[in-house]
Amino acid sequence: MNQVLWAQTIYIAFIIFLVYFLLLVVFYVLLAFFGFLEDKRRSQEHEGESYPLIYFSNLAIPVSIILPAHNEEEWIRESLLSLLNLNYPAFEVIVVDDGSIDKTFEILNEMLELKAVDRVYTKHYPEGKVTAIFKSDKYPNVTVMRKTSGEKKAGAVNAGLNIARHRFVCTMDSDTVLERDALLKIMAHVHRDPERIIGIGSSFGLVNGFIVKNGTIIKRDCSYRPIIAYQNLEYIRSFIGNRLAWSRFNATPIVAGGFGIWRSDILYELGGYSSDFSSEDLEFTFRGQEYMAKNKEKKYKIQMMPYYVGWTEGPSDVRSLIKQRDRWQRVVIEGVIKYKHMMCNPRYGTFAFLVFPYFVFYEVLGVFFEVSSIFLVTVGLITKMVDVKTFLLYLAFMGLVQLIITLLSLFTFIRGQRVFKMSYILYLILLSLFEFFSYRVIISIAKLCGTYHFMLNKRSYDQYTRPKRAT
Amino acid sequence: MYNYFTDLVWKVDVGLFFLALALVLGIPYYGGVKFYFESRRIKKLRAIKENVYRLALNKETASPQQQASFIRNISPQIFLDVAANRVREEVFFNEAEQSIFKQHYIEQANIRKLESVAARSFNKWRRIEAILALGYAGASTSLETLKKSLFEKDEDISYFSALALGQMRNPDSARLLLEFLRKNSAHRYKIASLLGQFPPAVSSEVILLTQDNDYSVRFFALQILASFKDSSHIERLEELTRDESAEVRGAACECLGVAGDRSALATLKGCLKDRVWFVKMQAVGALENLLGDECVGAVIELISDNSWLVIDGVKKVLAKHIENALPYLENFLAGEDPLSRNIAVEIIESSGYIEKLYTDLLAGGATRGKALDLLKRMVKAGAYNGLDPALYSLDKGQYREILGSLREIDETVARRIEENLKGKDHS
Repeated sequence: MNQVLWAQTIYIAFIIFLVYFLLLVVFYVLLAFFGFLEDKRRSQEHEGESYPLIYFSNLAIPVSIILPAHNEEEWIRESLLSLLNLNYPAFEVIVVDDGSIDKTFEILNEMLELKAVDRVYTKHYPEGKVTAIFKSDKYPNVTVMRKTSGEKKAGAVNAGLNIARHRFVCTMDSDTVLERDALLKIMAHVHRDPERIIGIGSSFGLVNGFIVKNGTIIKRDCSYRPIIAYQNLEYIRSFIGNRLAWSRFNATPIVAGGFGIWRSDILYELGGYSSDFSSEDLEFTFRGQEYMAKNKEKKYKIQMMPYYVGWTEGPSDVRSLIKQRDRWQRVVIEGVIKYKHMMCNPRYGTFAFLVFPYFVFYEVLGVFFEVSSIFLVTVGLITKMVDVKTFLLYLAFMGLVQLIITLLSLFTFIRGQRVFKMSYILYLILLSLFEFFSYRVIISIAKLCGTYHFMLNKRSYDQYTRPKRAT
Repeated sequence: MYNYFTDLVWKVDVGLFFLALALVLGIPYYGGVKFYFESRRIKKLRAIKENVYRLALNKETASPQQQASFIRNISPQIFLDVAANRVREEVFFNEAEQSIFKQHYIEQANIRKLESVAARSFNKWRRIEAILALGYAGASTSLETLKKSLFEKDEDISYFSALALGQMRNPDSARLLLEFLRKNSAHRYKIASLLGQFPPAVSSEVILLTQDNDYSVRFFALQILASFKDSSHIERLEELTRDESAEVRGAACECLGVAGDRSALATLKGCLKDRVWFVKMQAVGALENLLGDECVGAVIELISDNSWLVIDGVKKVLAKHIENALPYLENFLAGEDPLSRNIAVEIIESSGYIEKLYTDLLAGGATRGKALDLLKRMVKAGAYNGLDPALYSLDKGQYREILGSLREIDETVARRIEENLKGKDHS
């Protein structure tokens, strides 16, 4: 390529990237504004809510909680105990042992005193092969299913759905420890409008560094290890910075698999979770949005709450982090490609014009914008088409955009948060100053890997190696 | 070299830098201010209870019994924990505390002072204290003050006013709360829960809300009526089983069930044919409430319903009334439909009838013959895991005898059970 062509290419790319990042800042400022309003609204509702009144009321809507577990001997005890400790008057727990080859089932048997039963049910959802169903002698509201593995988490949750009795179903991860009032807080909101709220999620953070005993968090020492703290920051950005604002427009793009509640009749209408994807939560929420658009007259809602309802285990080394984010990136691309017909389609409202383009241009293509822009200005600098001042200004611009996005989310978060100590918030602010040159690089690598693996048609639910939890 | 908008990027960078700086400084500042006001708020909440505490411990206003009851029911530590966790209901008072309040404020002069503070104080938390006190004093003259505060924009004032009215538990306060429920969509569940604790006498006020255009208002009105278990509005409830909203139809069924009036039987049986599973499920529950074990005949048809949730509801009812359900279940077992046979097995097993079946098997004679026949049908229909648990409670001889009977029916099942129970009590 001759020099003129190079120069033209760099120039055009430069303009495109400049416009992209400027739009991104404007977009995030708007998101932060609406997220702030939404957080304020929910906090006020929360403060006005009478939880004991719900707890002691006979009007509480019962919930089926499905806990899928695949080789979870390390986590299953604490997760299950956190469920059994829940402050909610009416719920059942269905643990699905998804072909574990470790001691998961033995632990369940010892904890629950299981007795095999003959349970007849209709297989409404594809679940794989269920080998046995057990009832707990010790806890009458607990059922355990054993099935062969192979259908990922989606298959395990579907198996649980097949025997779930209640009108609302909560799905979660087996390494999530729930707060005692998690269900009460979220269902209190559902109780306001059970006919329209079909799905609801909430925030959670990383349990790394916490001490958990008998399903209860007894010491909340957030980890100061940068890799964990950066993930906490990312969770804040995602849950508080983005999803709350989407929720304000009834355009929630994802009810996280770590803790999400869906109305069972809607799950039925939508045919349950699909195991064709690397992970089930995003695809199912997109399907839910599509369903809402098709049934506009019913004014359904999928909402997001700002409360920290639980704590999940996060990757504690770079390799595990890349593995996890690789899968997340595949999930996003799979969802975007499957539902591409929703993009800017007036039929799907705000979701089609704000959320879907965001997923396409930021979540899927954003990494290419970032990497290519850095690559091109670097090439421009080397070939002396761009001077040092422009190069540095451009790098500073991208770093500042990233910083502003994070700080705006933290600003919204600090308003209602009673989760982290102020010293930890200050630490997160400090980390955010260096994010662009450290954590962001790792995430970009993971996203590129994810895109590459997607193109290789990889659809597996890869589990990274998780650290041992402090006791 | 091209113009790379260096000046523009520089200006944008400067702008972003100052925005970032403002946020870096603003976040801790904002967090600190929030923390300060929250701490102050919690202190105020504590002060409410502490004031009552002081009142209770004052020998001039409370008898020793009242003091003892007060101290037993709420310890200072509980109160501090509650305030720290921001559960605001706990700043409210138990029955003993309420009587102290009433004694102290029952004089009209005091009530007037409280009303004045509740209506006009510039200090929001003093207003809330006064509003609470008015609610606990229960003076009817305070209703107008509480009505105004109930409909104020301030969430805290409105919230505490609702709870204060909830403490009055009379038709006037019910009327206000019902109006609030109708106009305020955000707190309906809470208001319904409050009203559910009112005496059933207010049901004539509640029933009026079932005429509302908003389905949610009708639904909550029915939920309140259900908690009264009142049978004075059966006809209206029957009408509501034909409402356009499934939520309302379901709630109407529930109300009819708890009202306990058998005149609604025909309506409820009609609801078993509703197009929405939720209504059918509620109708099954209502019929069980009304008829007890006689409901089996009415709900049995729904065992082959399209909705598995309805089937589950019916299974539960049949398992609970197994003696009445058994003839139907035996028919299912003798029939051709494999699903019905499997369901029959599950119901028999989950009802605990297997233990009786084993006892009958051990009894000998005609009883044994009948039990053996039923067991044979169950095994043919797929009874498998559920046969085991009841064997744990038998002694070794009985276990062997049952195992022998099972061997007569199906050698494989008997072998599987023997294998399963090896190393446990009987082998």
